[in-house]
Amino acid sequence: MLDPHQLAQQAGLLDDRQWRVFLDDLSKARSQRGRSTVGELPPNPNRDQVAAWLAKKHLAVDPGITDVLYLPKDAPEYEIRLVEANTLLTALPDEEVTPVDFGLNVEGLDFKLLVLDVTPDQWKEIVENRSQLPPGWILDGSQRFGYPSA
Amino acid sequence: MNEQQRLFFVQAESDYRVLRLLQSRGEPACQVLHYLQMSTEKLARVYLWKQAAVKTSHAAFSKFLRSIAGDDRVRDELGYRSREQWDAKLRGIASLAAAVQRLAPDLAGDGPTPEYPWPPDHPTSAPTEFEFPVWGELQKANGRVLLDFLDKLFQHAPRCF
Repeated sequence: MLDPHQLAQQAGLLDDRQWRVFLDDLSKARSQRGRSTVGELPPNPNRDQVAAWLAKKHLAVDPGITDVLYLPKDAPEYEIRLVEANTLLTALPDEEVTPVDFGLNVEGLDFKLLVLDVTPDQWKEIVENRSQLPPGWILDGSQRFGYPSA
Repeated sequence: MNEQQRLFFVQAESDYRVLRLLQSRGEPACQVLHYLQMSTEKLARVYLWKQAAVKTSHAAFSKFLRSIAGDDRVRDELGYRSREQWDAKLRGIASLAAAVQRLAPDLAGDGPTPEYPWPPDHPTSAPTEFEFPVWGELQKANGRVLLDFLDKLFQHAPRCF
């Protein structure tokens, strides 16, 4: 099997139509890989359980998402902070990376869900602690979710 | 809906009506895809404006699908009684939705987009002469499922977004 670098070099040789087919097939293959059942929440779930449930849902639903970090440390009691590596994002010059309130609306849950979408490069910088997270967001004690290794 | 949401909704709905019109008249694939990409991006922004200003448009549709995965109100309104069914529906359309999203010029890079000839600096191809793979996918069962889902979203959005 080709390693990612070799695969990228091969993909660079494709013509326009083949490139489109490649991207679409790649996204399909990736989303198939994450299709384990997410399941229901346990009764009276705590914040960590809800965060894990949402992280798995996002990985299953969006083929662009490859990894999710849950950052509970120092977050308000009813706030869930997720950082999500999104291969479909393009970093624009001088664009500020800010979390988006996803408007969680699940019966019986009273949590605010904030999601910080980042490119794979920004993700790398964050996990290597080279990039600043939003004010108050702390990497220590984070929990990572992603696809299992092949 | 707040006023920002309403503004995006009326524009998204108008784009979607044009998409259906073009489709029914057998107009070129690139035109149908252009309106599909624009209407889905705007529909996503209708939802995302519920919370706060949406500064960026790229990848909005995928962001929207992730958001409604955790929204029981939208799920109930669209008639999905269990979360398992809802997840399965969203997963089923996810890769095709991502392919539609990649048609946007800011995500297409130097590659094909239904709107402009490409590559931008030295065009060698025009959308109307290009056979978009995503168009083939839209003619299959999964494509009909996506369009049926969008029909429902446009129908129910004013009550649950």
